[in-house]
Amino acid sequence: MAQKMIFSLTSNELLAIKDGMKREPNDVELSIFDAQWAEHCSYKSSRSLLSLLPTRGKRVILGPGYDAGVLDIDNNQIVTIHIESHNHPSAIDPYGGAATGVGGVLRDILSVGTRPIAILDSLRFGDIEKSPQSRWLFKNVVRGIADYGNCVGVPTVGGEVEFDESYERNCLVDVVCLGLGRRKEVVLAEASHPGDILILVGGRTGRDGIHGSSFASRDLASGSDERSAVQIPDPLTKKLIVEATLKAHSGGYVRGLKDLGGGGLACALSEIADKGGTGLDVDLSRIHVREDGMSPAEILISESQERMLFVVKDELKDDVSAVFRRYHVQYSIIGKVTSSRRLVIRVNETKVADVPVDLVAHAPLQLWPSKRPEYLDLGVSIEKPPLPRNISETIIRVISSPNLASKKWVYEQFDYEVGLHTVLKPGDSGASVLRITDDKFIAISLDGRPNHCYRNPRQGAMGTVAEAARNTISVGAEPIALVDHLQFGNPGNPEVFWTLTESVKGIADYCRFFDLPCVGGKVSFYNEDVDTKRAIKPTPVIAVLGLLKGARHIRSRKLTPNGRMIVLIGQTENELGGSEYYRYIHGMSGGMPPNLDFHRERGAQRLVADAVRVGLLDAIDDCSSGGLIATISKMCIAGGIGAHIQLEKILSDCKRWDDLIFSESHSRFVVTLDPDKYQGLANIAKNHQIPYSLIGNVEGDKLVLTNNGDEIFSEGVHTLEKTSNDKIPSIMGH
Amino acid sequence: MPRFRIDVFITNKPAIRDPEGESILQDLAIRNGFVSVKSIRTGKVLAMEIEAENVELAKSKVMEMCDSLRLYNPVVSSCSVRVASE
Amino acid sequence: MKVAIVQFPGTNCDRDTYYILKDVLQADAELIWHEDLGMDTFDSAVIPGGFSYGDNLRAGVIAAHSPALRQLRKAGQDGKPILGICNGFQILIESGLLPGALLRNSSLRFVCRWVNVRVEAGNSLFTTFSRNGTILKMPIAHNEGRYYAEGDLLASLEMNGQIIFKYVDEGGQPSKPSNPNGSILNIAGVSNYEGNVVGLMPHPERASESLLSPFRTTDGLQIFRSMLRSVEVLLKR
Repeated sequence: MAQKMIFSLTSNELLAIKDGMKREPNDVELSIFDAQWAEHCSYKSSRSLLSLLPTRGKRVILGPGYDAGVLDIDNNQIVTIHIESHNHPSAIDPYGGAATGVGGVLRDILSVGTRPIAILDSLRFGDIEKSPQSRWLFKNVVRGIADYGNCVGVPTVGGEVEFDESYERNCLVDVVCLGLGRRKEVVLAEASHPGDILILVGGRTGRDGIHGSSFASRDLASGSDERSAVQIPDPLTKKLIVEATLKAHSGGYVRGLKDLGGGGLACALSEIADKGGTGLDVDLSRIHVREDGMSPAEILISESQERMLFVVKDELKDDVSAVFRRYHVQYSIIGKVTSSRRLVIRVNETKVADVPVDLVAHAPLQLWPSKRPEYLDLGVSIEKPPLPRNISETIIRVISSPNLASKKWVYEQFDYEVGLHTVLKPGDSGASVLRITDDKFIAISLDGRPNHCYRNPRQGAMGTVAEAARNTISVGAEPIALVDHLQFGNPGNPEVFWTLTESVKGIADYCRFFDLPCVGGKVSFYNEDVDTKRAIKPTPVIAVLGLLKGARHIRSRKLTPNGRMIVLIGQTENELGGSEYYRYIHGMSGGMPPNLDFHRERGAQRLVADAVRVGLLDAIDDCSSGGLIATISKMCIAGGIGAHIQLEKILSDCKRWDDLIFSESHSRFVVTLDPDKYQGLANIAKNHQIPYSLIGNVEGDKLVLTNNGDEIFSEGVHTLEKTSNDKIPSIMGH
Repeated sequence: MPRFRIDVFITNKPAIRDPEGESILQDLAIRNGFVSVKSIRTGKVLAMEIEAENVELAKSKVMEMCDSLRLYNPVVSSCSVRVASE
Repeated sequence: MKVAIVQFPGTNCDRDTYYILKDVLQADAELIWHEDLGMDTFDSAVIPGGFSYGDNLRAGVIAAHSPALRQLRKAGQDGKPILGICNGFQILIESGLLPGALLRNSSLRFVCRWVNVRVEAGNSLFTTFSRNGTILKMPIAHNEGRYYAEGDLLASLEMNGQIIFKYVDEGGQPSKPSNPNGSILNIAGVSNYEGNVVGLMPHPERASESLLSPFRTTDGLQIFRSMLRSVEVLLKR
C-alpha cells in the first residue's frame, strides 16, 4: 500500500512551483519539490547567511556546494573532508540513526572519488548522571557508530562528547569523515555529458527512510509516522560499495558520482543535472526495489541506505557493471543524461513527472526575522559563586566530571587503528594526527562550545574555531581549512535565528582574520523540545584540518622527563561565564564568557608554531575546557608523570584560586621544555609580544599545586587517571 | 505460586530490513546450495522464568516489563511472547 | 616465495597487511580475492582482519564455507605457513583449521587497545624470530575474541605447545586485569598441532612501524619475519 503523501511545502512555495511550471504539478512532481526544497537539501533558511563564510584558499580545490571539501596537500595528493549530523534519526533509534549517519558521511567522501580514511564524532546528550533516557541514547549511539565504522574499516580516531541538560530531548550526533586521493582523480557530482548513462548502485530501494529529509526539517514529533524515517544500517554492503566504487573509479569508468542521502533519488537527480547543466530521463521501473507496489513518489524520495548514483559513458557501461558484479553489489541502469534541462521521470513508457531542472534545484530563499534574545542581558553581571571550602574535592569533581573525564569507555569501542594512519591515538592530544606519507601528516580537531555560545554566540563561535585551531597547532600542524555544522532550534523563532546569524558571523570573522577557508558545512534546525519549544543551546561544531610536514614536529600532550619546565603561554583572565566549573559545580550558566582577541590569539598560535619548528617544545596542549587544572591533569595522565604547579607564578588578575585554575580564557597553551631552551622560547614570545609564565616543573608521580609555598592540592597521577577512567563506566553501569 | 517459562522474541518489524538475515540467506544458505530457503530473519530470544498466578498474568507481566524497560526499541523492533512451558 | 593475502567481502585489514609485507618487508605478497585463490601458486597465506560478511551470524562462519578455505586447508596439510589475524583467526577457527572457539568479549563490547602479548611456545612457524617469554606490544580490536576450549582440548593444547600467545601484564604475568576479553588462560593465539597454521587476535600489522606505536616499537615484525623465514626454510628443503 502506498502511503498517503504528506508535503511540507509552504503556500508561497506551491505558488512558485505553479508559476515556474506554468501548470498544476502532479503528486510525483510535488514530492520531488518537497524533497529538494526541504531545509536539509536546499538550505533555504541559511543559504544567504552561509555566503558570509570565506571559502577560497590556496589549497582549496572544491569548497561548499559539493559533497565534500577538497584540499591540495601537495605532490598530487588531496584530502577531502565533510561533516554530517543525524540528530533526529538518532533520537528515535540511536543505534540505527548514528550508524546510518556514519554511512552517509562516508558516501560523501566516496562521492568525490576518495577513500574514506578517518571518522571523528561530536556527540551531545542530556545529563547522563540523571537521565536514563540519555544513558540509553549515549550507549546506543556509541555502539551504532562503532559497529558501522569498525565493520567498514574506517577508523574512528577522535572527537568529543558533551553532556548538558539542553540536549535531553535532542541529542546531537555529528560525524566528520576524511578522505584521501589524488588530485587528478577528483570526480564531481555532475552529469555534464548528454548521452551518458545513469546507474543506481547498491542496496535495494525500499520504504525505509521515506520523508526522512523533510522529517529532519520538522520538529521532532512523538507521533507514529516516525517509523518510516527509520533507516537500517548495512555496513557490509557499504564496504562492498566503497571497494567497488574506488575500483570502478580507478578504472576510469566514472564521469560523475553522487551519493543518495537526504531526499533520496529526487535530490541526487536534480543536483547532478543542475550542476552539469543538463537534463535527465529516468525510468523508475528499472530500479531494483525491495518491496512491491511502491509508488513513483516513494521510489524517488526513499532514503534507503547504501546507494550511489553513477554517471558513466555509454560505451563503458559493461565494464563498470562487471566491477559491481565482482563485488556482489546490485545495480540498475536507470536512465540517461539529456540536453533538455528537464528532469523527466517515467515508469516504463509512461511519463510521471517532467520538471525544469533550474526550478527544482533552486528553492526560493526563506527569510526569517531576527531578534536578540533577552536572556543574554539578564545573565551577564552575576554575583560570583561562593568559594568552595574543600579545594581538593572541588578539583577532583571538576576534572572527573562527565564532560572532562576520560572518554576511554567510548573510544575503546572504536577501531581507531585500522588503515595504518593513526599516529596520535584518542586521548593523546586534542587533535588526531594521521599519516599520509612518512613525512606528511594531517591533523584534525573537532570542537563545540555551546556553553560559551549560549552566553555570546558570536564570541562563542569564534572561540570554538580558535580552540579547534589551537588543538591542531598543539600537535605541530598548521591549520589549512575548516568545516562547520550549525545546530539550532526552529529558525522561525526570531531569537534562534539571531543566534544562528551571530554564530555564522563569528566563524566568518575568524576565517577572514586568519585566512582560513571554510570548505563545507551543514545546518541542522528544529533541535527543540516538542513540548516546551525550548531550543538547544546554539551549537556550532567546528572541525579544523591541519597539515604537518616532518615526523619530528609531531607533538602530543604526554608529559615526558625531557621537558622539565612547564610554561603557560598567554594570560589567564577572570572569564568564568559558560565554564565547566560554573556549570558543573555551581549549576550556573551566567557570567562573562571568554573574550577572543584576534591579535593575541594569532600571536599565541604563531609563538607555538615557531617554537615547534625550531624544536624547543616537548609536550603541548591547548588550555580551554575545565581551565588550566584540567589541561595539566590530562597532560600528567597522558604521560604518566607528575607535575608541580606554582599558582602565584600564573600571569593573571584573578584574585581567587578557583577563578585562576578554572578560567577558560582563550589564546593559552601549556607547554613543557628543557630548561636549556627556555631563553629561546622567551625570545620567540617577545617577537610575538605574547605574555608567558614559567609556572612549574614536571616531576614525581603526583600533581601538586602550591600557592606561595603552601600546598593546596596533591594527588597521585595514577589515582587521577583511575578516577577519570572510571567516571563514565560507573555512570553507565559497567 | 506456579512458575512459567516465557520466551520473548525481539525482531525487526516486518517492514524493516534485516541485513544480517539477508546476508545469512544469500551468502551462506543459498551460496552453499540450500536454494529452497526463501527467507531468513534474525532476532533475539530472552528465555525467562516468572512466577505468576496463571499463564495469562505471566505473559502480561513479561510484556509489561519489555515495554516499560525498553527491552526492545518499539520504533524498530516488534516484540512477542510465547509460553514455553509451565 | 609468494604470500597470498586473502580478501573476503568485508575484509578490511588486507591493504594494511599488504603494506607491511610488501612495502616494509619487501616480501613478494599479493592481494587475492577469495574466489580467485589457488594455493598452488603461493607458498604461504595470511587471512587478514576485518568483518568478513559483516560478522553476520557469527564472526568468520560464512567465510569458513568459502571455496578459498578448501584451498587453505590443503595448503595447511602441505605444511605451508598460514596466519589468521583477528577475523582471519575467527575464520580459521570456524573452518576447523584451528581448535577451540572464539566467543563474544566478556565485556560485551568491542575493544580496541594496545596490549602485551607473551610468546609461549617455540615450535610455531610464526615465532622463530622471538624467544619464548618475549613480550610483544600489539593492539587488539575485536568484538568476538574470547578464546575458549574445554578441559580435554585445553589440556592437549597445553601439552602439545599449541598455545602460542598469551595476554600478560607489564611484568609478563597472565593476570586477570591484563586479559582484555575474558579468554581462557589469557590465550591470545593458538596453532594447529603441526605449528604451521597460527591464528591470533592482536594485529601484528598495526605494530610493525615505530611511527604508529605509542611505544615506538615494531614487535609485530617478528611474526611476519618468522613467517617469511619459515617459508624460505621450507622452500630450501
